[in-house]
Amino acid sequence: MNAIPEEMTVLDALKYYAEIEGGDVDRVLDLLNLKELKDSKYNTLSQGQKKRVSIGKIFLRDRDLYLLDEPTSNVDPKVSKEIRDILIKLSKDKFVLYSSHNLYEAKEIGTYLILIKNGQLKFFDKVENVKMKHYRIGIKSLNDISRLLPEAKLENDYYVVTVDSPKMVAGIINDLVRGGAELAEVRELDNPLQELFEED
Amino acid sequence: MTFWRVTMRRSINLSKTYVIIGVMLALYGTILSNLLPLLPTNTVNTPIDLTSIFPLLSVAILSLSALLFSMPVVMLFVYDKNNGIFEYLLSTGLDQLDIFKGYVKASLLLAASLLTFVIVLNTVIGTFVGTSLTLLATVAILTFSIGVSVVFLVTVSMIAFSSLQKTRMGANQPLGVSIGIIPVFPALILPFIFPSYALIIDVSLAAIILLASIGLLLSIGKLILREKLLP
Repeated sequence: MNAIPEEMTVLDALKYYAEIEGGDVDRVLDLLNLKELKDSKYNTLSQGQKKRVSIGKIFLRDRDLYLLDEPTSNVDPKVSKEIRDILIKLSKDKFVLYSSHNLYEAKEIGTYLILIKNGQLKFFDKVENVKMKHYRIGIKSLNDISRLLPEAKLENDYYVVTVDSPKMVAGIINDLVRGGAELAEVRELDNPLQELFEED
Repeated sequence: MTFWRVTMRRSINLSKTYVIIGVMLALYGTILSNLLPLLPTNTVNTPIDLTSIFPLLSVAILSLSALLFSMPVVMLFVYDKNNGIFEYLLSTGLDQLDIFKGYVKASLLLAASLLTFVIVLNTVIGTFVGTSLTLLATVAILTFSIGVSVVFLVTVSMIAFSSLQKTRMGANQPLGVSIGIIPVFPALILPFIFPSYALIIDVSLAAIILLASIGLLLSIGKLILREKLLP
């Protein structure tokens, strides 16, 4: 739900809110690159453009706290990234409380995590403090490293190893490099937030 | 532009059909009110003094025209509620009564503007065709008081009780409009049955609707709750 009068143009919709709560329409048009769309009717815009306008209205006034409910839902990856960039920039000097069902996005841009499950607060701490029981690490190599990592399973070009702590990864990589591995990529395959969310 | 002005403008743009029906009905009421003096004498040779009843009949029609003319405001209210606009306005710190007042004000001013126009038109035409000034003044006062009261009654009821406005299969069904039509309806029938009481009937109806409106006004604080503005 974008909370914009659908029959209005983008400019009129922003002016509508600016007249009620005050604020700078031009600043919002600049901030969210809406100048080209300002004379377009809101109901003719794409989902991504609508989302930009909808988010734009919250920037009419400078606030100390921003509360956003799934701002990147139903938008294409490009707009999603634009919105994330705005939120990251904004969070440097403002408090941004942001709800999302996308745990990868939450891990990427969140500083603190509040996990609510069945209406109960399940977790509140820094995202970096979310611990997993096991970590699955995917290692992509340009050459065959199966003899160096006999315990690893090959999944979609990644040699997958399971470790108890992220601190063990550095040792594994050192051993691989010394053994002649030509590493292309090392990545954490699971999202710690996912495990936290799935816990009872 | 203030909130209620924008609401008025948006309402008219959103549902022009009701606006057009309201204006047409108002013109019909004005014509009906001034019709009999223009007809040949033999057609009005009846035991009932139709020349005084017809202007009083137009009171109900003109009141209903104001109701239909202002109906887009309550439809816009539901549209804005479902669209999450009120939820956002509440989150910015706006009070639910401020939002409510904006819509009621828009509704009343739309109705008042049409009523003022038709009353002036009716008075001018009535004077021209020879209707008594006392009757014209009575019609003007009754039309304005019943019209504005009915619009207030219906607007507040439909905002306060969402069950009076259903949205089924994408179509808004303003069921609450019957709250306005039912109390005005006797004014369309009873003057024919009891012609000598036509004025008393209209005055009584005006008083009843006005009292109901005042009662509703006094309980607004309890009726207009914050959660009722959420989608």
